[in-house]
Amino acid sequence: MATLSKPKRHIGFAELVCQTNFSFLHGASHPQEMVRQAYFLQYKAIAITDECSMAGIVRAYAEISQHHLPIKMIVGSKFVFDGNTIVLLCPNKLAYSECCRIITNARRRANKGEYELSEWDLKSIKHCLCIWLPCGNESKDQDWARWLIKHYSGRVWLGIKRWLTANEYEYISHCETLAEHFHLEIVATSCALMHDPNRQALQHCQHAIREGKLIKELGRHALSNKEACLRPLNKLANLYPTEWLDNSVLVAKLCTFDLSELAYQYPAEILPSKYTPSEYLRILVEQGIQERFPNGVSQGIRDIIEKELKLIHEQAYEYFFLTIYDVVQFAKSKHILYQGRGSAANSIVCYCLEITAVDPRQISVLFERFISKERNEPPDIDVDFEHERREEVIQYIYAKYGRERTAIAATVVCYRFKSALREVGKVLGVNTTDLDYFIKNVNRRDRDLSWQSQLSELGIDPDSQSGKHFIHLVEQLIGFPRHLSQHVGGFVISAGPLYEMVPIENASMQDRTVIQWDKDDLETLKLLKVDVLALGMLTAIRKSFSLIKQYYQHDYNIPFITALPDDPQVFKQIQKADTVGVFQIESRAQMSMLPRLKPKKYYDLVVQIAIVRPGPIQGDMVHPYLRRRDGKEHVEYPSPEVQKILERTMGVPIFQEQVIQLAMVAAGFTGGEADGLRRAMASWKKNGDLYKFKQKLTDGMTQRGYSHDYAMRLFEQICGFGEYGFPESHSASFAVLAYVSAWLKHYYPEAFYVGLLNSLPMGFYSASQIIQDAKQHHVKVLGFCVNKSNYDHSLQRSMPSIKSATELEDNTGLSIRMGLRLIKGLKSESINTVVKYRPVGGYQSIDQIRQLAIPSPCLQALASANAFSSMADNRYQARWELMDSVMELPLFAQHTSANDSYAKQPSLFDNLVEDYASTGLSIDLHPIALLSQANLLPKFYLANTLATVPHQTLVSVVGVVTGKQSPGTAAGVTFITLEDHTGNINVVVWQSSAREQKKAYMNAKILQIKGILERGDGDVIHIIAGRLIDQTHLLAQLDTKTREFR
Amino acid sequence: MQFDTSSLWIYLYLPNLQLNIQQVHAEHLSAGDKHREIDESPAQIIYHPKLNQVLQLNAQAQKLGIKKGMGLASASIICSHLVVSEYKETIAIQALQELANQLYLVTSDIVIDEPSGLFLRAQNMLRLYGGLAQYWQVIMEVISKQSYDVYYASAYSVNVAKLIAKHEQHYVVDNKKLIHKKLQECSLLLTDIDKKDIEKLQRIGIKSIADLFEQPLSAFASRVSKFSLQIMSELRGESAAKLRFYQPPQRYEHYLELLYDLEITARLLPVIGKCLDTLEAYLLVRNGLALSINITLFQREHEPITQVINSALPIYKSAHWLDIIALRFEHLALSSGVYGITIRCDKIEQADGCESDFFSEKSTHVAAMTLLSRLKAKLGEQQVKLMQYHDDYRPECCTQLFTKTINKQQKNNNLNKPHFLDRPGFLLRVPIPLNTKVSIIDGPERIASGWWDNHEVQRDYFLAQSHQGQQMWIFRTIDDNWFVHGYFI
Repeated sequence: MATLSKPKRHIGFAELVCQTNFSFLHGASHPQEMVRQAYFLQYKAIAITDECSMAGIVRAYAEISQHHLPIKMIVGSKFVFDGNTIVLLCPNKLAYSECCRIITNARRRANKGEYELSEWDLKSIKHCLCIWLPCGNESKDQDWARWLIKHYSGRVWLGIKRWLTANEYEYISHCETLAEHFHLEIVATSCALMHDPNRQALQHCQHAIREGKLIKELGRHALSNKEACLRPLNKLANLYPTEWLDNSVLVAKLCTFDLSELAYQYPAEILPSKYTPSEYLRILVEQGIQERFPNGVSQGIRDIIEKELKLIHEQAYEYFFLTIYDVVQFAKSKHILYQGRGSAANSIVCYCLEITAVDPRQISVLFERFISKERNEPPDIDVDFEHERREEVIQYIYAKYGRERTAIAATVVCYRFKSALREVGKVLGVNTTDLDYFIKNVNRRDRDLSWQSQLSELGIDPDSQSGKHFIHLVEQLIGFPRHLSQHVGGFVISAGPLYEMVPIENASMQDRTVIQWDKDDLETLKLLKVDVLALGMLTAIRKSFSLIKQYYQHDYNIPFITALPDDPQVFKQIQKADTVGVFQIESRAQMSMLPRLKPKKYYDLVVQIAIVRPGPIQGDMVHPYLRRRDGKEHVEYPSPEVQKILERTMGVPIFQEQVIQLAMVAAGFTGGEADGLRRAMASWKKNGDLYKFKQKLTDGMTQRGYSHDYAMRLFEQICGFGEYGFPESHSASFAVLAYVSAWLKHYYPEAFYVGLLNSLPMGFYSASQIIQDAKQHHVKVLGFCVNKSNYDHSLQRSMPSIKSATELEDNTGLSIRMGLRLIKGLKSESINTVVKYRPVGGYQSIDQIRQLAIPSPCLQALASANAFSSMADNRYQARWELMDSVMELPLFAQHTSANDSYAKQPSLFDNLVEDYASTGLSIDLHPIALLSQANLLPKFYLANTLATVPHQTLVSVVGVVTGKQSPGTAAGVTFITLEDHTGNINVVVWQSSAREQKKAYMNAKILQIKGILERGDGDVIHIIAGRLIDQTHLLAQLDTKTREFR
Repeated sequence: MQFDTSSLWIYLYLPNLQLNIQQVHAEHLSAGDKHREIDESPAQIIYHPKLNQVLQLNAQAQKLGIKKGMGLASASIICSHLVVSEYKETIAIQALQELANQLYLVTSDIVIDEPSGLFLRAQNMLRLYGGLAQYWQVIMEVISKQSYDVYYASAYSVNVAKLIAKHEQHYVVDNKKLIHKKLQECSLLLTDIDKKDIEKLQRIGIKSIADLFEQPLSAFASRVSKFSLQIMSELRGESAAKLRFYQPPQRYEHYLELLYDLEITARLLPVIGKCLDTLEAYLLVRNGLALSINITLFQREHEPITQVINSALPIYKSAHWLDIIALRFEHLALSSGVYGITIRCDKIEQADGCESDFFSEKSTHVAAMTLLSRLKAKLGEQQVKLMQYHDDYRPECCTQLFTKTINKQQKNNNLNKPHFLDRPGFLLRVPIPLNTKVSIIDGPERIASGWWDNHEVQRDYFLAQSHQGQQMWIFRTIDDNWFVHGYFI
């Protein structure tokens, strides 16, 4: 005992037990902070030993590698079993695999977020080193010591932590006795939960969140002091005998495992045994060339293919391409539409492998632009599948590789502003109502006022002690991981059992498992993942193709349409912003840009999709691009290198790849730094890492002769890219789908609208808006009918109602028949029953349908949608008949109801209200048309008449509010979309107008705007709102749904 | 109870009770500020967090465009300086009970319709007051004393009266035709008919009571729920609702006028004893116990003195109460002669059955509680404090003093407190500097905690022994000063 108080000489130490914030709500420091601090304190090594988890190790490893920190990292994990704590350390790869295996077992047995270790798990460990932390119970510890000696002979040490707690000496002497009795060596440890003592408050806060208590209620269950942190060596020398500290270094020396040893092996079954990967890939590419280029390839394309194959071979990415090829071949065989995108997807190799439909002849593909040895990025290929059929692809992957060898990557769900504020507030005892009030009133988009300042405006005193604690803890907690979730579709597939490489745990979704690493971790370790994503537009396109085949006998596919020359008719439609339902270019912002950008060819669409994004807008890159494109501004390049990068976008950086290349060329970033920048861009909202690059970027650029202003704008744009950053490689693929959907809309509008409606919910518009658009394109829409409608919306041939010669030409005789799926409250089983038992001549009475034993609410829903119109005078009559519960009794089942007439008849207004209530849309009626017919509205312009109104005219418009957007890129401006029966009207409301007329601004469903008509570039019409008049009272019960975006 | 449909009922609808109460409170607070105008009052809402709805709002909030049923986010966007209070149903119910209590003095049959209305049966009071107008005038006098927003209506059915009142009417008449006409104007939405049935009815075009009456009641028999049918029938006056009348709470109050003025408190005690005998008899009959009584002494030339006497245990015996009162009166000085005494007991508790056996600690508990009552009576309520264990590392925060009577849960907490072997038996209230030489036996225990309540400590505690063999608990502060904090016994 006396040895403890002797002063110590300076010695080495390795922290062998350390929990980061990936031991959720226990550890109070990031893994990166832990290793940085251990290096700063001159530790010999640090073990990252999160509880039954390996989730934090890659981040710690990345920190050490990126900054070349001269400190050893040991991989391990802590487990609590039967009241005892043991820490397993991995001295080599075998031990690491063992550890991952038992973590997987323990996690898979328990619910998400928990683990259940068994004695067998611990017995099966043959290579890991064990640090045992006794519990203090005499008999229990003796039993455990014996067990460990038996199973971990020569690999077990007794760990002693000194947190300076009460009665600590008693515990230490108990441990010393155990060590002596069982001949165990003692190692010193701090069992660190924090990298710095100042994190104690945050640790208390997390502890209270975990327990669901107030911090002040934790009492003696909380940490009593700040000792559970990484402590300086001189302090440790005062606390522990030298021998114990030396032992920690000896144990660390035994651990030689490094995460870089994890070599990834792709499953061998995708490769026929007689070929090497390169040979097989070449064979497939050559086959693809025959298919894709039936007339042979030009020398230029052949050169690129050879260059790409060489690069793939050099980087050993063949398996990756072959795996994706295998997945898309499955999709193709099942007629599931798909489209590849991403850094490597738009290569000619991928085009030949049918991974993507981006025709290299339409875009000057530079494979190096997408995959670069210099940048050392892993290849990125995301494959989108039809959203309704992606599960089939996932099941194929599981079936082919087995659940042992494949799992989905994790997404680390972190505390964001709202969740951090709510949780910290709760444990500090702030009233829940107040927290709701703060959360609802803090505008995170306000760039002038930080959330901290906004909180003080809302009543938190930032100078008071409690206010300081509150703000400081929220700041610290933001970015802390909270739990692991499932990535949208990133699969990791391996040759051997995956759990030997990374632990696997249960996801909240049934039968889904996730690995403990996210996509950044996988990138760090150069492990490849295959992204299997879902995209609604692909479903819509496939459904349209099927209808075209059925009704027009044309068998189209995406490559066929993209291989056609750019169609001026289609681009004319796009230039007019007639793009409701068209992929990616249907939003209000995109639409207002289309007439200005006037896309004429495929690559224009690639730019169009990328340019209307927060990145280019925030970086003020949009207007220069438009001016230069229109020839109003001369294009100048600061240097030939920059010219090479920016030439294709008129000297304006629009794509993420350009920004990264600029950082390398103009600011002198190394490949590694550029990769770091790319990652920081992807997650800067989470952790704000991007600011670390600001100085380097601006300094680098000014040193190379670029103006400070240019550098600042570039940095602004990098910030804007944030999580919405759009790479050219993705834009190129999206542009294909945008073009295909626009082409379908132009040539086969009926099939296009039906495909779209049957794929909802997706995209930007509601069924009501799509129907309005269809009607404006003279597509006939027929209502819901139990005798004619199916589950889905469908096409029906009908005799054209000829009105004019032009209409005769256009009319194909096809109409859209609304499907019963759109009726609210109607279950799919009931729809199927109605359709299945429908007699050839149709149902003759409501009672006939009642006898199908369809639940009453479903029948009511059919009546509401006027689906009984073929057998009842009106929907009131139908509902009145259905309300009679006597007819539901078995005794009356065979009887038809007496002629129970109901005199009341719905008015047009009643029908409109009922239409909206039951289906969210009205086919025959529009509120504005009705109000106008009833002379209830003041004089106003219809949407289709605005085109003839001169610029700067004072106008009055009225419409149903269908959209309200306040994008972060437009400071304080709200864009309101009004809809009347002739089209949409774009209204701009300045913040001051909105503030002054809050009542109408906030609540109006039918809004009258008096304002100035402004006609911008490309004849884009906006109404700048002056007065906002709420006219909702005119149709008080109209249940229109407004989409609101903040 | 069921009533015939010929009785005239009045419904008082008080939709903004919580808001009104808060406004009255605010007015009292700002009564001194004469320059303050009504327009300056901020927009205020009562908000239901679970429903995320504005339930009540003042005129200022209405003016800005906030509406009932709106979410908090929408409301706060309209007005950033909105005063938000959380809805508490108990406030409204308590206010209704108080109002019923006051009305009970002038009308007999009252039914509380929680959380925002009162039914008054006017019919059987008309003869007493000589007509509806006179009766209503008396009722209004009582109501107008409160600054509540109130709507009211009369009808020959409780549901009709309620519906018309909720239609935001002020309509008290006894003419059946007029009432029926008014009823027909009302919206179906305000009735108590099932929400689902209302929706069904609206979807066949029945939106008002007039529309409802167009169809015979029998047509709805197989089309709506039994409950809705009952309401419809009541609205038509074809049946009546079952209601439960309000009963005022039991309360003991006894006034005794003295034959001559008494100026010495000790002399008052026998007289008070007599009064207490009546209290004892009152409690015995009701099997009740009292925890607190109010004694008001009416002085001839000064304001009356009211004393609240509490007992730690519920008791009924006059002798026990008198003991406590005697202790309290030791310090009571009278300004002038007392001519009358009132003893009031507002809350009577039911006596429990035998809840313990011979071996329980009840007798000890009773003795302790009796002592507590006596100490409080003798020294004053605030002078007697109880001690409670509080889970905290900081020694000075481990015990808390409080004055209120200990409840069962607190008692259990006290019983479950951890036994700290490392803590001294005697802790100094304020640590004293360590001036003697000591030898350290054990330690340190580092306590660095308490950042959350602005009483952060950072100390290293040691077990030390003085030369005299006295074991003491000492600590070192961060700036290396040493203190004694306790002694081990």
